[in-house]
Amino acid sequence: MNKKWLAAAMAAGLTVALSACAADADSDTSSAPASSGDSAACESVTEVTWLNTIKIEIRDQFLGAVDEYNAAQDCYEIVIIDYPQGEPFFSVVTPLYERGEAPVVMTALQEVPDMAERVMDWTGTDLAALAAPGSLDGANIGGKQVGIPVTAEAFGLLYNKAVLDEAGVDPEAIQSRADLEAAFEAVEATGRDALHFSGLWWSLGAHLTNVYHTTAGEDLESKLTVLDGLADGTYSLLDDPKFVDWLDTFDLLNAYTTDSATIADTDYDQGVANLAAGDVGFWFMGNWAEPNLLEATPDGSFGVMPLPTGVSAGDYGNDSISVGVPFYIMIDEEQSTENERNGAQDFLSWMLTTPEGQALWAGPIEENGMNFIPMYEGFTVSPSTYMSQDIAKYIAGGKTLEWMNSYYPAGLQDVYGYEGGQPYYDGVLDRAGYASVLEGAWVGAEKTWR
Amino acid sequence: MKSKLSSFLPQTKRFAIFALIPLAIFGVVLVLPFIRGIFLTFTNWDGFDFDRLVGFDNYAVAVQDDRFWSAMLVTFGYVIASLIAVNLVGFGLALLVTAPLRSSNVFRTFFFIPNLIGGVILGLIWQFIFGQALPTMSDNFGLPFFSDNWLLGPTTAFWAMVIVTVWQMGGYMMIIYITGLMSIEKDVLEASRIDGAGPIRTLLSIKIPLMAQAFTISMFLTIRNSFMAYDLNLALTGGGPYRTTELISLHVFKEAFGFGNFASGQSQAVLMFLVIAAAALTQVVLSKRAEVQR
Amino acid sequence: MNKSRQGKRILFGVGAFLSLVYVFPFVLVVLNSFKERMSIRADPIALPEDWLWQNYVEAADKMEYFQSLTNSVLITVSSVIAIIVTSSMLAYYLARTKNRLSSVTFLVLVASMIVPFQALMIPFVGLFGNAGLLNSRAMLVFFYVGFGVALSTFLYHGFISNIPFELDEAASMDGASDFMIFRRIIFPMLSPVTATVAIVNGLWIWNDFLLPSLVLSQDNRTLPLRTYVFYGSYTSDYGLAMAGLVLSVVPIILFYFIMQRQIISGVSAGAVK
Repeated sequence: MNKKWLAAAMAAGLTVALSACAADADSDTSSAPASSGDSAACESVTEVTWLNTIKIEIRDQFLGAVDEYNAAQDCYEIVIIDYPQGEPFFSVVTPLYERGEAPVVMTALQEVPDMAERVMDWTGTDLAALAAPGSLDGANIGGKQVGIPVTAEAFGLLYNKAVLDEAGVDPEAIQSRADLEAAFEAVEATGRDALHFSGLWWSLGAHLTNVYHTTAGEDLESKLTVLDGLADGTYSLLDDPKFVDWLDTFDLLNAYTTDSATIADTDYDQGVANLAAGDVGFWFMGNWAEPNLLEATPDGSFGVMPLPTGVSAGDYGNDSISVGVPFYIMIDEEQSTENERNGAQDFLSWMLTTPEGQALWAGPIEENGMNFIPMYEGFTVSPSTYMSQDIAKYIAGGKTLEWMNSYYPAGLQDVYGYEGGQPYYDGVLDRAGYASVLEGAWVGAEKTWR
Repeated sequence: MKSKLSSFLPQTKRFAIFALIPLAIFGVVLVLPFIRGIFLTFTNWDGFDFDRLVGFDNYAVAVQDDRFWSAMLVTFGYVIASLIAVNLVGFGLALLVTAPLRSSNVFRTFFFIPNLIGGVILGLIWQFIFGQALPTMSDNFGLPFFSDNWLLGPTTAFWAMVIVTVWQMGGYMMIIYITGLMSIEKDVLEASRIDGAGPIRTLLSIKIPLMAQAFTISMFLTIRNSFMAYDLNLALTGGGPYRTTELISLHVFKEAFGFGNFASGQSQAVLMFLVIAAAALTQVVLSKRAEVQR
Repeated sequence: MNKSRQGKRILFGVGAFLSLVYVFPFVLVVLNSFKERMSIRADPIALPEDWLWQNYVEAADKMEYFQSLTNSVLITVSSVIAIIVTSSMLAYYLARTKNRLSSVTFLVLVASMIVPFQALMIPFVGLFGNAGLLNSRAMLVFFYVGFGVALSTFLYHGFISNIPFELDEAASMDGASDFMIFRRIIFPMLSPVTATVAIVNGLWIWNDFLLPSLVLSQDNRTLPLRTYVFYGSYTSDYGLAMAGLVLSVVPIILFYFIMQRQIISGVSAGAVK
């Protein structure tokens, strides 16, 4: 018995010294949470379940990181629960809760408000304190910090630098929609299609529509007011000049896109293939595509630039890319034990604050890293690819727009994409119909942003 | 006749041995959740718990949902198309396989194998065929018929589902029809041949009428399976494009889990059950009447 | 004579053509399972340049093939046996007991065959989840019995009704108990229907996706669930996915070739009520 208390005291001391774990005051049983790397303090291994692997693109890398963490300490074992990636969040999570097998850790975005009552509050924890300013906002529900950010992702017009160089196009010189059209013409003059405009439901439903919502006003509050109006059913999209600008841009993209872009779920692969091979100059997509592009063309350079919807050069948003948090990490509080919660936080601390973890979190794909853009202070590793440097430039210059799509209620982006965007993309729906689908999607929505 | 009392104990014992366990399992696994499901449709259940009764509100919401009716419409169309196509093909294949050919057994194998494959795997295979293989083949051979991915247009995606359904179910129905054909007594066929009836005449006047029972079973199974189609729908089209091929099972699933509308989703499931019940009942009653007349 | 031979040739031609149409999806999937991802995209109907057998190794590993195969076999076999036993006994009872209760029960069973699973899926998960019972293969077998007993009892019932009651009576006079009569006399006569019941239930349980996805935990997953592993939301590794599909389909096809005669006769028997 004596030894056990001694070990616990040592562990407590180390915890205070390293301040890497979020230890609760009323710890109940034997194993006090040890800081990462200290393997002497735990009697038994606590299993901590994690639902899926954040994104399927970095699945192998994430599994590798989990293995490394599990091997490096004896207190906790992170176990991944796999589910088909396409399944809606609730179809997976609800049965798990019903059977008393709720995962300890889950990642989500639009479902964050719905999960708010079941998960832990991160307020006051060390990791939350390290998070970049503003990155916590999307998961702050009524004062409770429901999750912490995974990474920042950005989307806009990806471009193939070699193609643009050949066409004589300078991305930074594109300041208005007219400039963009001229750029498309220049690329076409080199004998290729100008761009790949994906009809993927989530690209049209979440990302493209965000370009409208995030330029609908010039600060967050005015953008949220638009959402208020839509939820109240009082906002008429077609009367909003910014919406009309955005629709005109949609039409522009449709006019210059390659024929091989479709609404199929496999269109993503086609987009990667087209841009990587230089068959098109631009692709409206996000930086998560970069590893795929580099895999196809290892010595290529692919950057990202804004999608200017405004007609004139100084219009709001023309010079900025949409940057946001794609997933928040939530820890269940309803069915997990304190040990499990400590374990989850211990793993995350290891990933986000230790050199080994950081190298895997933000390091390049070739070195088994996940290439995430760090959102926490103290990162010594930063992504080094061409696109991430592009993104860093925009962030440093303050040229970023919020992801208003993180405020979409669960299921709304499906309606936006499947029932509005895709038919409009295929020319099956007209402007009035499209606007009415978009407005209709908000009816009865709860204002979780208030 | 034994008196009721003296047969009571043996009756109970017999019940306990033979029927108690199966019925108990059936009751617990199927009846109980079904009844609870109906009960929940009268509450404000959110998937996790509920706190009050709401009368028929959920049904009102469900019935006003345009998506529900379009899903029902598509499903009806799919059921009718499948009913006709699957049974035509199944019967045709049965005729082919029962002809006196040496390779009949081989053909029968080929036609039946798709039935062994589950809906999800089937959908994934055919997604590849329609999306990649057929367009390439179309371009190579200069036939524009399949050059667009059929899964991307509302009408073509619908027919793609029917095609895969026929591919999967045709073989099974073929076996049923084969059995029906084989069960016709030889003397009847002999008699008609002696009377000088040609193959087509024989088919229409003798074979089909004597196979009425096979038709009943086949049609019932087709209707039931098509109404409840889920795996194939999910894996092949996912309800697309733009939710135009979303059959009712998938719709209910999405309603509850995709959008979190558990109570109204459950109500729609109950409505779905009522519709299927009505359709199946109608078909069986009509078929039975046709059978009896023969 | 010539006409008949010509007719046969035509029929053979039609049959061969249709067989080709029926089988070409499989052929394509098998061919592409040996290719690497980008080549599939480039030309899905070409023969593979290199025959990448390692696709199969990798796919088997990623989908934990042997483990999920074992799970599928265990669950399917146990469920089918359980369904045969329970349904035949219940059908015997219902067919031999002519009273109001048994008619109503039979009706309820038949009616339940058209209840779609979606109508009870969520309450089902809620009820059994709260009791902590949604976590094992044994429970899954239990559920399959519950869902399968209706159709199977229906199939047995029709057949038993055609067995003359005199047989039961004669055996009873000889002093046999109810259970003995059933086991020694009636059940052996049910072989054709048993074959049907085995096939029909075996197929749907083997291929079932929805119920196992709700009930089974990670280590117990069946083959259909595992096949989804290759399909990411953005991009899929087609070579592996094709290999995975082939691996999923091979067991049941092998089984069919081995048991062909019984399977066909089983399905046929089901067509004669």
